Amino acid sequence: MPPVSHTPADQFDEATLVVRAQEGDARAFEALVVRHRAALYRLAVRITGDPAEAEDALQESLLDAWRRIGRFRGESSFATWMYRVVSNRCIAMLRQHRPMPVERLDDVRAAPDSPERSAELDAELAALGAALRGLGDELRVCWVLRELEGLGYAEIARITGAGEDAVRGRIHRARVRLAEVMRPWR
Amino acid sequence: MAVNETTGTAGPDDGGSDDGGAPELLPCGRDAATVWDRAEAGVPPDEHERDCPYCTATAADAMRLDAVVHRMAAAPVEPPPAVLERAMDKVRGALARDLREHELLTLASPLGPVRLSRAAAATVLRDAVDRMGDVRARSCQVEQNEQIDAGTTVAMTVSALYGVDMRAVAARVRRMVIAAGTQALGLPVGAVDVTVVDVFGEGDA
Repeated sequence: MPPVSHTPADQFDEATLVVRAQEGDARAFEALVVRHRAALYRLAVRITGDPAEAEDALQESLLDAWRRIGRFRGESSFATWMYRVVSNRCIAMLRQHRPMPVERLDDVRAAPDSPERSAELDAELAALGAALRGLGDELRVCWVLRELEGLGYAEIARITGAGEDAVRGRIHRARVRLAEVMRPWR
Repeated sequence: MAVNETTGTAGPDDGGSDDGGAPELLPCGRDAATVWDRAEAGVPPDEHERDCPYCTATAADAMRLDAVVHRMAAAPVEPPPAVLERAMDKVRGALARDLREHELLTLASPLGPVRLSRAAAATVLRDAVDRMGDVRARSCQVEQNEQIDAGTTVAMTVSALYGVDMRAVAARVRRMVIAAGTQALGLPVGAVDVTVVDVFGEGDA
């Protein structure tokens, strides 16, 4: 067919792409996902704390999303829905692969004597990362969405499926634990 | 499918949470998350917070963590270049694997019937409509009639450029779908139902 000037499908509005993907158009699905790729990968890294695991989780999440997009009703944005799929998949993978996070919390508590020895800022960031991995999955997901992704409580509630009050409670408990673990650093 | 559709969070909190949907209140009765958020945002303490040991301690923790949390949030996290391609390979694999009988169309041909996925046929028809420039195809349902010779029925929803003649658009979409069905797919199209469900502006993505 002759080339005609028109908007490439991957630049179409979200509603059009969602309908197409729901009807089995893989290119439309890819176009949707490309827009959110960086944010979804970042979320997976922050929840799992491990790039390789995050990549696996993201791949499985996209497959989950492809298979379930027919059930997406547009009540939230596509991004919120995808955040939900990714965080659920990350939690499921962590539960499969990881014995218990509690031991790591003990490791972190032993770290306070190290700041003077190493590059302090990097070590402090690493300690926070380790402390984060030591949190329970649901506390960590809520904390990541709030403090690293900057989302509001209502949106976090939509993503996690928990009530907004429960989300506030989880975030606070996560904050208190992290503050406890990080106390020796100040 | 490991992901649970009905419950957004999976199972009990192994971090020892015991939330029954309740927010965390400080012993003074204030919502702990709010006190923390205010301190983090640099809001000066109100009269109660200045004198309350619980609010003061919470705000102090917030201030202590603030810098390192900000550094963590600002640390760039870039996806590996091929992460999406690998995922899409899996999606396309699933697309082929999951194809069901009812998702196939049967085309008559001199050498016997040819099977074509409904989704692939819809993609070709949508592409033809997209090329018109002032219309974008959205939903495209291709229904096979009982008798193959009777052709298929296509139900398409479209978004049209704001200001164009809707009746003319529908007629052009109909002609385009019939032409693309016949020429590009070898799929005789008996009827086309067109519904304009949205409009877009010149600069809209």
